[in-house]
Amino acid sequence: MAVSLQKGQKVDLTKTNPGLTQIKVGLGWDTNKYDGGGEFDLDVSVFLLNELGKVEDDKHFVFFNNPQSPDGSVVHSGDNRTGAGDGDDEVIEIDLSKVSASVQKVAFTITIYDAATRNQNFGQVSNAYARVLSASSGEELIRYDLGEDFSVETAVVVGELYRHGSEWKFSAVGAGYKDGLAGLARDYGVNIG
Amino acid sequence: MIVGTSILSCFFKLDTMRRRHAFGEAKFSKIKVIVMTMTIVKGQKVDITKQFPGLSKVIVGLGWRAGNGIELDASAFQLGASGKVNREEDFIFYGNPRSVNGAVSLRDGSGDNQQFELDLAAITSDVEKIAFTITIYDAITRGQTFRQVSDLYLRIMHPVTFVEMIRFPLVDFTTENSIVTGELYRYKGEWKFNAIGSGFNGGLAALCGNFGVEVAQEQPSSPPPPPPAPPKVEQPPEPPINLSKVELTKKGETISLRKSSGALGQISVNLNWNRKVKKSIGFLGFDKSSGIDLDLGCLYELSDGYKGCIQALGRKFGQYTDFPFIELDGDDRTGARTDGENLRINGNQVREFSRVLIFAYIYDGVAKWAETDGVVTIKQADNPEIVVRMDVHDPRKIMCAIAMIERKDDTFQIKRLVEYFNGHEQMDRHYGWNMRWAAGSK
Repeated sequence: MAVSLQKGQKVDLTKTNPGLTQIKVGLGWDTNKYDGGGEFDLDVSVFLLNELGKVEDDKHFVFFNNPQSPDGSVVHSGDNRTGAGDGDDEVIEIDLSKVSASVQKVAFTITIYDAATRNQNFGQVSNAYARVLSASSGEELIRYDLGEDFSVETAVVVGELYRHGSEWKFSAVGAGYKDGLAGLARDYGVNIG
Repeated sequence: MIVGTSILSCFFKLDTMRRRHAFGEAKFSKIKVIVMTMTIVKGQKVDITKQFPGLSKVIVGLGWRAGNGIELDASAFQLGASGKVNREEDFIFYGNPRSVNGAVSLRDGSGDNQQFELDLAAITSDVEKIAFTITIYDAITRGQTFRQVSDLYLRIMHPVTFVEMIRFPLVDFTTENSIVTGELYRYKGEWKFNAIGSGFNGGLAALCGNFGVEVAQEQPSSPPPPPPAPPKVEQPPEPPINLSKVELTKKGETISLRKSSGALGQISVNLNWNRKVKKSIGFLGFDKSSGIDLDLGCLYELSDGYKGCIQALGRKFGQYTDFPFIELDGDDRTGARTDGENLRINGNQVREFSRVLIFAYIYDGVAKWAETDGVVTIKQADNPEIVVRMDVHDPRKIMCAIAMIERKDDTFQIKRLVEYFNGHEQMDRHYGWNMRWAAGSK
């Protein structure tokens, strides 16, 4: 039975699931059920952050153009929908044992591509969620439904995996930003061209 | 974004100190506060009752500028947790402008094209969300879309002062012909507003489908109607909502059949009712409960004073092409036929008639009117369907007078009755036919 989180809540991941190293983070959402307006293109990106909350290397920004971190710990499976369970729009595979020692935090974000031009925001997205699964069993361990929290934002930091001593925990961040992926990447110390 | 400010004498119960702090205002009167119109964008969600404590009513105004020949209608859907209407009557539109408890009502706006007045405190507790929509009337036939509509907005106003609290300009429509402007919704004991500003290409039918309201047919195909029976008559919605349908809902409510040209032609009267098939939970699986047999009939009085009765009982089926110009088609004894029972009246012979009383009776069995959900539909080529539902019941009586069709010059007037009687004779006397009656069987 998955632990269901509210915004701001933190929960143990590896302590409550001893021996867990291979996980998947599935993210999903529903967009425009209406006829008009542009297509929605939502992207999941992952930032591997040091103790200062910044990426040490631009390669620690894992997204559609950089689908794997240099240490091989984080793999973006693109539009792969064949991961454990169904309904996830995008899935990130993580091997916790491979995460570089300098990485303290792994942040999962969803951004709306070309949001400003298309006049789109998270108020037009519904049922967004993130869930953490055991890669081996497919069991859902943690679930966070974003619910009501967003309206004019175009980028959302959904949650973070973070080190706590020798364990990993998960935090339901649910913070929204108005400047899309570029703004988010800049905040995390990525050099945006 | 703050686009303007205005000062008003305000009836909000509020903490003036907090207001002063919030807006940096420390003026003299306790009832004078600064209220700011907040302009919001598509997708934005804003607090309503939290932001304006003590507010129990609001006005939602919708406005637009449309070219000639474009007719827009505002509607509101009161939605349950599933995003669908709980009841058909929770769809508020020109034909059903006021919710049953009066909590939501639609009116022509002063300052807006249309306005909804909402008593938030009185809204039924199973309503989670109210969607405010605008549709272009007959859009598909006329090839019209919201691209041809400009200056669209929704605004939320104070119920007493009419001061605008929220404004949402709607832009960027292309092919849509029905739109959801925004939704008021419950959130943690408060009401919030979500600026939707999106729509559908499939007209009112698509919109209704999205919100779980059944629509049988979008628009009537009849020529432009002269009064007194335009398609937009007062008509509360009943399932399925058919906008090319006129429903007589109150006792004595009357409508005239209008003629486009020439003769009236055939007027068909259909009686249909619910066919109960109940599942039994026993070992035998499916078990059909005994159907309830309703019979359709009529009393007629011709212009020369001749009177008679047409019904399956006594095999008095009449005839269409000759006297008495009324014919009953068969007898649906089991209710298994899905099209019910039909009576045809020869409208080409309208001058032969004085009046026709349409009735239904239960030949045998208990008078379970409530279970049968009887509906009489009267059709004539130039008119919207006229519907009379047997929605009041009297289980002690086996006879129901449903509608009176009376000749008025060269056309017919149809009046709702739905009154119950112990039998033919009692009904006959009530409406003054005064024929002699004897028991019979079919």
